[in-house]
Amino acid sequence: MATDDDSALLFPIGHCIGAYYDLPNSDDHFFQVRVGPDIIRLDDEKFAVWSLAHGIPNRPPDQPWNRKTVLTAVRRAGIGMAEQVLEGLIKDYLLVETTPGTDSAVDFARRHRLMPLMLGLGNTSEEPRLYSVGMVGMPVVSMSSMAYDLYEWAHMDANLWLACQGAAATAVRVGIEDRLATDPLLMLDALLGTLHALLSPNAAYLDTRLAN
Amino acid sequence: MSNPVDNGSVNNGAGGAAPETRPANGNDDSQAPLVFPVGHYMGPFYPTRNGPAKHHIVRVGWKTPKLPDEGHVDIWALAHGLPNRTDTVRWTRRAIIEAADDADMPDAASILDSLAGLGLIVEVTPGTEQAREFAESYRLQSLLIGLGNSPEDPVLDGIGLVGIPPVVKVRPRVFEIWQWAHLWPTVWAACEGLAYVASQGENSSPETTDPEQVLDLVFDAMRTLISHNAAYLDLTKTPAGGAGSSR
Repeated sequence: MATDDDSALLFPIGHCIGAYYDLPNSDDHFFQVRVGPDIIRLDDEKFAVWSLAHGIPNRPPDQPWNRKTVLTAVRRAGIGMAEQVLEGLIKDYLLVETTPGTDSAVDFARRHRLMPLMLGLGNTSEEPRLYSVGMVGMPVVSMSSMAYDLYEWAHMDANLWLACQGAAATAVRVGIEDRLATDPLLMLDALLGTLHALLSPNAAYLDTRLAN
Repeated sequence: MSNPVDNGSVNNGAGGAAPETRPANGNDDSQAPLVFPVGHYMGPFYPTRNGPAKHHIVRVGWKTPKLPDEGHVDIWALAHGLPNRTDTVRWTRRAIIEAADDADMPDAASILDSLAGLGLIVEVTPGTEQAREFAESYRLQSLLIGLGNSPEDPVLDGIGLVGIPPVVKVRPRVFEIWQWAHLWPTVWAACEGLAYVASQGENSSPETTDPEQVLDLVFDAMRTLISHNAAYLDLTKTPAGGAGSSR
């Protein structure tokens, strides 16, 4: 759902499949993104905007990644017709806006799954409260134990809202008192607020929900 | 997870170390079951600051079996396969034990038994009824992103991460399995689905339209993908939070 509200965050949907060159030594190509069972073809500009919507590595952690900041990044990258391209991607369901703390966030979570793309690398003896994900010998993103728990388990549920509810119920069952861990709404809001840190290095992606 | 033999080196399929072959060594290993690791690695767990790791965690379905020591971690890592060997060596118990011996890892045989007991490896013999049972019990989950092909090399597709060389480059059929197989609930359902899709296209052949033959290809693809951590095997999904859930 498109919105002009700056508090709405902008999220990319889909698994990057990459470039497709049909012929040797020809520059003719397109990019492919899989969303659920569908493959969507993107030209260079659309793919660049979709990629920038994941976030950028040097983004200040407290800077919300929304329509405004993405458009700024797109223009800095020299991509023309930024707003039209972005609107087209929203229309094609490759970008989705949602506002943490609202009903739209729960609706968003009900419609999507969070899929991990890396290995869990656990915590360290130096900083046991922080967990990282990455490749063997290559930590990429560090996170709290709650976020790590969702990274490990959320894709097992049919959608992200069920995953938050399940994780919260487990936290209650084992006696955790932190409301961030026991209230699925607070958990979801916290996750959405930091999700671009996982999306920008392709540590995870958002896909459509499962039927059940 | 360490990879002490291969040291996690990138094999981009465009060269690298020459595949190692081994002379026949006693009994024929050509019919022995293949060994595959099971589960999504979730790393070591350090319960206290400056203390030792309690164990390493692997998620398998709704459970989290533990790798209790570094020996188990090393042999489980070896079970993924060594990219510079698995093109030419069937990755069986014997191959893993020999690779462990080469790397001075002790007790490989008994640790493999332990890993099997924990459900962290599975043994399967392609072309048998047991292979079908395996395929109906496990699913293949992809990791990393597709980097696609290039005008210089339109045949091979890269899999990896943005900003670094591809972790692995694969043939179109392997890339297809990486791209699609995880959308089906089991490896066997993926074989049936991929075979059906192939049957709708031009130039189809039994190799691509017969699920049994597709499964043989999937075994090869699984080794390539799993040995590069571009995919992992998981149990077929059961309802959330079932009996014994570790969540």
